[in-house]
Amino acid sequence: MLALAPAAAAQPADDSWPTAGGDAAHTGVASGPEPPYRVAWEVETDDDDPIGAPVVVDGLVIVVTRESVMALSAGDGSEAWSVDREEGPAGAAVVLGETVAYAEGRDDGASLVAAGLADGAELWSFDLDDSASGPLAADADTVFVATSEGFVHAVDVETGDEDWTFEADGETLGAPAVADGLVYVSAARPSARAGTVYAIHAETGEEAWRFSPSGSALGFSSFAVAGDLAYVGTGDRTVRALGVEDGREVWSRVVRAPFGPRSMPAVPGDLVVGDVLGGVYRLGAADGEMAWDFRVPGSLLSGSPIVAGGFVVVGDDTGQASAIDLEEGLLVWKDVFGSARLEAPAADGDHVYLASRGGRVVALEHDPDAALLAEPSPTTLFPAKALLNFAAAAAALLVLLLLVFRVLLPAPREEAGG
Amino acid sequence: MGRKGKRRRKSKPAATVSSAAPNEREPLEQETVAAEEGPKAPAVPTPRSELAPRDRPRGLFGRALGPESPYPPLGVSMARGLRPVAASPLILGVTFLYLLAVWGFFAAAGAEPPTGLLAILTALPPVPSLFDSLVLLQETSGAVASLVLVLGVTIVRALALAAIVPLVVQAVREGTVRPREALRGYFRRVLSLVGILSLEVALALLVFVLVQGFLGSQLAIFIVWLFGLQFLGMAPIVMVAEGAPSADSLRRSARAARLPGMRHFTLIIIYFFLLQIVTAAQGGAPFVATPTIPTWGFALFVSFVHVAVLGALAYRWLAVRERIPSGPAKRVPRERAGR
Repeated sequence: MLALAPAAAAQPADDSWPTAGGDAAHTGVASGPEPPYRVAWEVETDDDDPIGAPVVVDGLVIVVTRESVMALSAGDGSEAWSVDREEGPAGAAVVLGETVAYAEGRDDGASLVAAGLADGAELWSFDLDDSASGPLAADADTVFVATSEGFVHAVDVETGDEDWTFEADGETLGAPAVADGLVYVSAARPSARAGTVYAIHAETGEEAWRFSPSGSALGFSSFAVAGDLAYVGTGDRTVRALGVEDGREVWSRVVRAPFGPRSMPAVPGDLVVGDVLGGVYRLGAADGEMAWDFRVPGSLLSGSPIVAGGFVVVGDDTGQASAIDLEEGLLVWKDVFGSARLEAPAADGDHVYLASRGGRVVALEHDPDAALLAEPSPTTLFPAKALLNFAAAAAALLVLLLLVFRVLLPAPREEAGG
Repeated sequence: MGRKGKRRRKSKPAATVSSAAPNEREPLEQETVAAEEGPKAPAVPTPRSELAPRDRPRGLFGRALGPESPYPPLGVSMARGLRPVAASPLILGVTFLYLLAVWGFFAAAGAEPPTGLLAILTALPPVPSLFDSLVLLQETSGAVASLVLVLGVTIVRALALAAIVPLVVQAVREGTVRPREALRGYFRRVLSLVGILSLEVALALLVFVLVQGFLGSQLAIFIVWLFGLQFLGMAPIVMVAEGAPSADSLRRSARAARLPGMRHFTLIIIYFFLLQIVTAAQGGAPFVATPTIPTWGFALFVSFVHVAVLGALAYRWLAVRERIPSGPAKRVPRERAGR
């Protein structure tokens, strides 16, 4: 039973996105909307820096900014409530039933706060040892927060009491994922150039297993879990599938670049993962076989891909949001929302929500009048086109240089004569 | 030797200087024969003590405030390197094909085509030595596969440079290009160039690894590029112009870099900063695997600049070649050397 309850909690209702990654396991899938998109509404927050990924529950979009937590109406973006927040790193909130939890403050002044979803009124606060390292996670009745000091705290959502604390070897990275009674978290010791991923029993806080890949300690992604496999990107530019039972590596796939700590794969059947060079890859969930790869213009340092209506949606750090056909790997829609980094999107069936570090929150809806694009990835090489372009450029430059140096500025006669 | 240096300094104004190319009296045909029969430079290394005092290597970079540099001035060197290269469709065509060949090798090898850095693919050796190694090591898994690819791209570069360098040397020396003469001994030059470029790859990687640990990778790249160009930049020219074996070409290139004065270093540092500007200008652009016409155009123009600098270096080598002894350095007692 213990194993079943969190799994049930990991599946969001079709109209909600209660945590970064969509559910506790970070599967990152929503039923819609499909591209092309148009802006349904747009809100500029008072803070112009930084902002956490949005979460959506019961018609409210919750965003955590540097100095406040805001609830906006999912329908029109009007502010339902806003509360002050002690300044600190902005990470996505998590919603459990009628409670929204978020982290505030930094260093030893950091704390975990629970507030009422309806009005933002504080319910309890729990002191943390250090700043939260990323978005929060939750199962049915517990909030999990990882801190930069390397601790993972499990806090009862009703009482605010700590259930357990787990100490990882190094600094924890990104957001914990929760599935089937296990909490998954990454930690790194940059000085030792070592990184480790852990599975912790959600009930007791005891370590279930750990896995230490070779290679750089930096560049780990957050986990996503589906079925018998837990997926994580590691610093050696490798996407790994680990067995949830014992942490053994089932497959690995090298990609072009490492991963952002807040970035997490999406698992819409196959696996979709993004790297810090803007690479988006669709890999077979069972064997890691690459179906396609695409490159968006900016880094996906914290802009995880999600899947809405069968299309991959991603926001990058140039401010561009892109939608990619899950089957073909073609770009079908794109738009630019300022020049600031976009956090991981959220979706609730009707809208895709974007939050930019410039303090902007945008809701996108399906645009029935616009047409889909069909652009191949810039990483696709078309040899014939490349050769034609080369020939044209070379011919033009050759003519230009010869014109200048043989006709307009000829060499003195004695030199030309040799 | 000293007299020859004085005579050059008294040479005619720029336009006339260009008509009096160094060693013009020795056509490439003779050089080619020399290349086949052995280096034309003295077979017996000249002891350091027997060099004219002003020609002795002075420190790593020569001596900034010492005697006047034996190298021709920067403007004259660039003009003499640029004009014959820019006026030769053959040199331009081969240079352009060199860019296409290296780019094609990366694409065919399965490595991501380095479109963002197209313009430095044809930079003067040893700049690409480090670049090739870093890109291919990054893109491939497995030491053997990486080594095979690095060797492959080194051979592609040797095949291209074995044609480009003799053409440039001939054009600079004679003001015209005769391909049949210039390309005589082509395959021997390819082998020598594979040797030179392989040594440069090994040296570049070694220095990069040693420096990266405490200065970071960016600074390590700068140091490899700058020192590599300063000391090894003339090696392919020496190999072609003197018919010297690989090791001797590298040695004489390093000796040429240590001639008194700062003229050689000035040319190198200007070229080095040009590389930085080009890298910054193109490296930040969004990645596109299939280069567009403007992308190719920019890279081809920069390739032309690379080969023009090669021409300037060739002109300078021809101006100082007689001052640079061949063969390994001969140790002499300190008292004698000081006399």
